[in-house]
Amino acid sequence: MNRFDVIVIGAGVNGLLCASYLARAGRSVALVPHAKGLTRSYSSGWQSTNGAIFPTWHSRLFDFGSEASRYFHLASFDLGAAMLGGGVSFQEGSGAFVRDADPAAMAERLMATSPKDANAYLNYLQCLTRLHKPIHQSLKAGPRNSEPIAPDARAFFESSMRDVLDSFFENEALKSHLAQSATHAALGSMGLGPYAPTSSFALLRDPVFRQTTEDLTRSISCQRLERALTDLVGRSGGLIVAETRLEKIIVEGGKAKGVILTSGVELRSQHIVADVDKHLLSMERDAEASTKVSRARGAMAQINMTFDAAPEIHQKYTALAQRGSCYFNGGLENIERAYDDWRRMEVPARPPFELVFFPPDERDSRELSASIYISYIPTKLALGRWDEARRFTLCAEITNEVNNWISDFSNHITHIETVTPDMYESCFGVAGGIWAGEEQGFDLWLHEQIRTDRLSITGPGSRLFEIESGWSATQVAIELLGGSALQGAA
Amino acid sequence: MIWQKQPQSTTAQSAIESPKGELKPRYDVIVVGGGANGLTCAAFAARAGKSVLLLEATESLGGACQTLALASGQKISRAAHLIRHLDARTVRKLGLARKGFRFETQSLPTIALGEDGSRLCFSNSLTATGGSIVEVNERDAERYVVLYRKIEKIARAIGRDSNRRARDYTDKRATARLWPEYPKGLSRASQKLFQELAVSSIGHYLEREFETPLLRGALAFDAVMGRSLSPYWPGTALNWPASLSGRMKGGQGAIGLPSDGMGALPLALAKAMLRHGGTFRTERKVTRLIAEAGRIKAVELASGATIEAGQVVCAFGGADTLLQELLVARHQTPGLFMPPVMPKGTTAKLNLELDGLPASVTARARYIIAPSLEAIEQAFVPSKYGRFSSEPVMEVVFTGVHKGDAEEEKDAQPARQAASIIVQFAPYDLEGGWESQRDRFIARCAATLDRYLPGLAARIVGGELLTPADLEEKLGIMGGLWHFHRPVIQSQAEFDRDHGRGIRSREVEGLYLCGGDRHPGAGVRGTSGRLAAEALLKDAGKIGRK
Repeated sequence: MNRFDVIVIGAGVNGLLCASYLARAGRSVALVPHAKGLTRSYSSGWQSTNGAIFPTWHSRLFDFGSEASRYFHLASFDLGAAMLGGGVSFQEGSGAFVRDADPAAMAERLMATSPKDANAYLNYLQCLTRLHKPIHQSLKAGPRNSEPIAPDARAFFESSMRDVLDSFFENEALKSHLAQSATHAALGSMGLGPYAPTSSFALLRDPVFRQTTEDLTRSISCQRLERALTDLVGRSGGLIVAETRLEKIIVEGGKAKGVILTSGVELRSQHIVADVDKHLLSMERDAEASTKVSRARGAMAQINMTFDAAPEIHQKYTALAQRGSCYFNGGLENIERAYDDWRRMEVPARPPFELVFFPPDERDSRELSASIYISYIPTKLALGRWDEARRFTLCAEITNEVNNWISDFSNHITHIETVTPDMYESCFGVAGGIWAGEEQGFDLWLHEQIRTDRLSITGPGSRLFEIESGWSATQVAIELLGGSALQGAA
Repeated sequence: MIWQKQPQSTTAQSAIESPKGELKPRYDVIVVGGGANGLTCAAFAARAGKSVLLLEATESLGGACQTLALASGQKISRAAHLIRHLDARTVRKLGLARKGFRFETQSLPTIALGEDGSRLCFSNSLTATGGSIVEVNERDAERYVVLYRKIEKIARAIGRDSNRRARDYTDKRATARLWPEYPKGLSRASQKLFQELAVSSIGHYLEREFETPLLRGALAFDAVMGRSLSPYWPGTALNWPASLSGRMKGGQGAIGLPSDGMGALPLALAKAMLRHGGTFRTERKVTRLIAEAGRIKAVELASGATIEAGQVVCAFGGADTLLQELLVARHQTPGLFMPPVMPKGTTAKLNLELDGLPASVTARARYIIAPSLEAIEQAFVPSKYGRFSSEPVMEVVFTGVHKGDAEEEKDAQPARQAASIIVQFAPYDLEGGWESQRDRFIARCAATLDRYLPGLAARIVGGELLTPADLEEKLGIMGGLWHFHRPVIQSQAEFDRDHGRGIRSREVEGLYLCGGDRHPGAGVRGTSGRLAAEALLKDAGKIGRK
């Protein structure tokens, strides 16, 4: 039986999510892997040479969307949900800057140095809380149904992070901490620096304020989510194609009619949903159009490591992990300078990075491990290319920086490896490394409108739908199932 | 140092004398700020029979529209120097042409200067522009002609839309809609292109479309002109059609060069206002706006005097920030709102007096020195960190250049010439302060000018540099941000029509806001002034009927 209602290309979390909706609503669904030689999807994490799996940042900070969580009762799955703490940032000059997850405690801490900042901090969280919900609701409702939002919300659509943070705070360490912790490694993948207009939108992802809003899910393990969704698709009768991948999309008369797999099998369907990189997708469609789509550029590298079993190390790092991530950024200006270097395809002299410890019980492995997510690392270099020597240098520089703050850090590492963005490309089929195009900066506003409009890529009737986030997967499912299809089942 | 002193005669425009005599205790309308928008608003209100008083804080009217008379008698625009978007209705209804506001030309061509001496000429004839590009790159010329036709359609739609009626805070539907709308009248295909431009950076967009660095540089320059933007920041691509959205006699997107410098415009507007019975005072700084029970009541001057008003118009940029200080009866609970963000300008103005034109200046045109995208980016990056560009990008307009390059016309050229130059990027807060570094910056500018227009530096006999800080101090332009008083990329500003930054104050009845930043789009327009006048006249009518 080679006819389906819907074929979903790309078996990442979003593809799985869309397929789950459709399969559960009784549609016949086939899920086809897309990337070359790919056995794992990007969201399922990086498999280290020693067998351990480290989350790509995406999976640790996955922002899944509340509709999906409710519809699938994801709360009842064991997804390893972890609270995101306030974190600690380490900066020359100001030392270790601790951010408490509790707003009142943090305000008290700030009071010691600047009463103005303490007040501003509470106001800042209030503003985020007040504005975030209508903004997100409006984004989700789409252009036709959105409600008016407060005029001062415009700051997030027009101002840079620097301008917004400057208007609230005096303390430079606080500003850069807020900027980096709100965006995590995503800062780089937006293709923007903190000085660029619209970059302040990313502040709405602040981990501390997110804890107080019920709308967003916490950090979850994407591996587990992927397993859960795969299970769901299977149980609802969906077909998950394995051991072969997409060769070509069949387009007849301007409409997508089906796919041909590398094994030669031809599948036909009413509709096609694509959860793949836009660049690759357009290459499948037509070579001419693909030149119009700007090449995505990666912006994040990852250093994964495991530690020896010394109990005092476990204790120390577990305590740090409870505080949240460790941030190293050298200040807002340094972050912007790293962006400048990245744009010129150079490795920044001091890239901002985030160190996350994984206590053994939080993950599937029994060892204490950690990942360092480094922002603004280019996929392609202006001079030369990534090789082992360059990766080693990057790794050495970063771990040295950590050593300055966490004594003996390197001495307890038992296994370490560096993953540069070019490796994501070759392993996961993510074009250019991690998805980071020029549009990503705008992603948060206009970009989403474009997504909505592009639900049908080449106009109504093309039958080809493109998704790229948990949210757009939900939107496509609603579109395909017709209006209120999801509400009843929730 | 290139010159020792400022130009000898710096009479700022042939200013009208500030009227003398006692002020009345009450006016129907008080306009705060005497720039193009304030004057337009005052003139329209006076024309409708209101008693109008306009108060300007500095010593001359005009804001960014000023004429500087050089020792040689040459008149040069001191800050803004070209007109692309002037509100045609204002010119017509107020009879500005009869009051001395004329154009030298309304179709000034643009010449982009390349590093290797190559040139591209953009004129209002697409065929001619295409012909100029063909000489450099045939493929690019073809693509340009095709793409320009599409861009022009978007430009026209943006232009039509931005002159529509005032949107205001009091209109419930207008409060900060999140989703932008397309300008009206765009075909489906144009909407697609509009979308693409709205999310793209001009840099990436042009890299995809064209091969010639000079063509990319010239088009990107217009997209970031006057603003603190990198050509690689998203949203800048839409600035390309937006910069062409004006419609002059020379056609869609044409550039107008005013006769006798830009100061002729505020002068004509002031004449119109006076003729209809309005009055103004310069050097009167408003320190407070007094409101009672949510309604505007009076303004207080620095001297302590208060003048009552039925309606008050704030016609200065950055009103969001200033209102917090000015408005006594602000209802806002402190802290609950996002604090307003007020960035600083990074565009300087260099006015040069020359003892003749070098042979490299061949025609009356707008010369652009922005040889490539990288050149713009490299000029921009230092400004983020408080330093000026070592190789600035510039827009140069020479006064007194005759139309053709015929020999007899060249002979007729006056002995003294002047160059009006917009220079990017020069941050307001320069690291180390401007005082000690002015000369170094001028030298950088002169060196760059001389490389692209050989022989120019030797011709310089005097001039003045206006850094953003100078523009604030001397012309009263807040933050020295004189192109577009708004911390946004224009693409979004164009959507702003429905975004709630309206003409009527949200907080106080009878208070109107019409600085250049009230209306989406850059350039000398007078549109928000006209819209504010329309709004306040409509409201006054309503009150009368009650």
